[in-house]
Amino acid sequence: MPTADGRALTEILGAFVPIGKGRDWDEVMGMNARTYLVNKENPPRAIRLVDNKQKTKDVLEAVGVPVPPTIEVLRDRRDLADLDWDNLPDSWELKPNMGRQGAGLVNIAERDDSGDGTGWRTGSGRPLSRSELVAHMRRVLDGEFSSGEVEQDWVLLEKLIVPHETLAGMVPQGLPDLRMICYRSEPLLAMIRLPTTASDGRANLHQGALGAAVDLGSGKVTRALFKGEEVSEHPDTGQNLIGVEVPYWNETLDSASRCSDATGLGYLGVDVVIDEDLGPLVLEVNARPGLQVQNVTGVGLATRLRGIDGQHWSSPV
Amino acid sequence: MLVAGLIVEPLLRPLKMPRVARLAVILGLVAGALLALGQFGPDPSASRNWTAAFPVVVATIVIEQFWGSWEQEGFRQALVGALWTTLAAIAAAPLLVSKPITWLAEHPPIYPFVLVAVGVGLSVLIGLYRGLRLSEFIRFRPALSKGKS
Repeated sequence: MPTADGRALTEILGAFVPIGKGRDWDEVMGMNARTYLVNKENPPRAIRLVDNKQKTKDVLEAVGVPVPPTIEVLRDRRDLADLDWDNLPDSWELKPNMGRQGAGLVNIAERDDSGDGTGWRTGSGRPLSRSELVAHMRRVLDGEFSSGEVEQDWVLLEKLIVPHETLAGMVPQGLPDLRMICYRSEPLLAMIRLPTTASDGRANLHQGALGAAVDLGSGKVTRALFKGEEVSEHPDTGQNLIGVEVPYWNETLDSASRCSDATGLGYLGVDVVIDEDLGPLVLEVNARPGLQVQNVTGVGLATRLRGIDGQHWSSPV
Repeated sequence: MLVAGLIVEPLLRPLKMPRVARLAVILGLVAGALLALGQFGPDPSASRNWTAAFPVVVATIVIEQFWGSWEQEGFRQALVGALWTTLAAIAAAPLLVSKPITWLAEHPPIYPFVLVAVGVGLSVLIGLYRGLRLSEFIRFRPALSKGKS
């Protein structure tokens, strides 16, 4: 049976293929180890909780973790029919409560006075009539953008996040966010995900966003990775990335470290945005965080985990 | 089959195996149940009919995964994933209806059950492996650089 850290496998493979012979693969955590860790540390009840954005916000707020302010929660079509459109702020964000990876999300940046005067404009300037928004909200309520086997969902209307100028200046468009990987209350690794033109303004590394490693001690960017290559500047804005200090870093670390106790997850990814007015806000807590952060930071999660509690991933099953 | 699957699934949970490994174990057990049905059941052709369901199962999975993948990873990735799944299924389909396999299904002495048992055992062992997957030796190359954060 191969050792759990894959060392025996790398030694055997290293003799035949260029996989990075002599490198310390023991540092890296793969999907198998992550799945084991998720199953071991994250009870199903806690996973169900964080799949529900509004309930997650409730438990986080209860322990003093800042979250995006809720404007309205629409639980069914009756709530939608009763929505007071005139009293909505000029900018807001629409989210499916159980949505994942930004599906069904709409950013409303301003009212649109043209036409009958009841329309809105999105962050990218696209006009949306009230009836188009109502139709979209109905699809959200029907669970069309929701994860799992959800048949019905809620519509969340939240304050539109305005990114802090330090981060906003780095990107051509979109909302940069911070991904912190935590083991219980201990942050292990952190990166900023910066939208690019290629990612169409989304902070999703798989869609072409840029990842920048953040040093946990200082909050400064130490390295950046774009499409698998190390870069020092944002490819669209030309902004230098290395050495940039994330604003409100200590508050951000503090918020991330309190998410484990609040949600019951032992291994988690915490997504934080830095709002111009409100500072760090926890956007989402993820029970199955991805492993790409290791490539961005150049640091393996297994190393960090061992450093926290002596957890040794090479121990036999 | 359903009952066997429903009984086994919770028994696998304490092993904390990945989803694919759990599916492999359940698939092995379902295949064993189909073999038993073919040998001991009233209709010996029942074990052959499962190959007819193969394209339906693959098509359903491709369709179901495609939309989710498009939303999460973009259209190109979704299309590439769907194409590879379809190609793998097309490559596997002739195997499933090949003479040796159908012969095994139609003339099951005791050893196909041994085969299924070995397959299930191997799936459990592979499912307990917590090291890196082969593709991850490529994927995580940038993680091995010495820059610390």
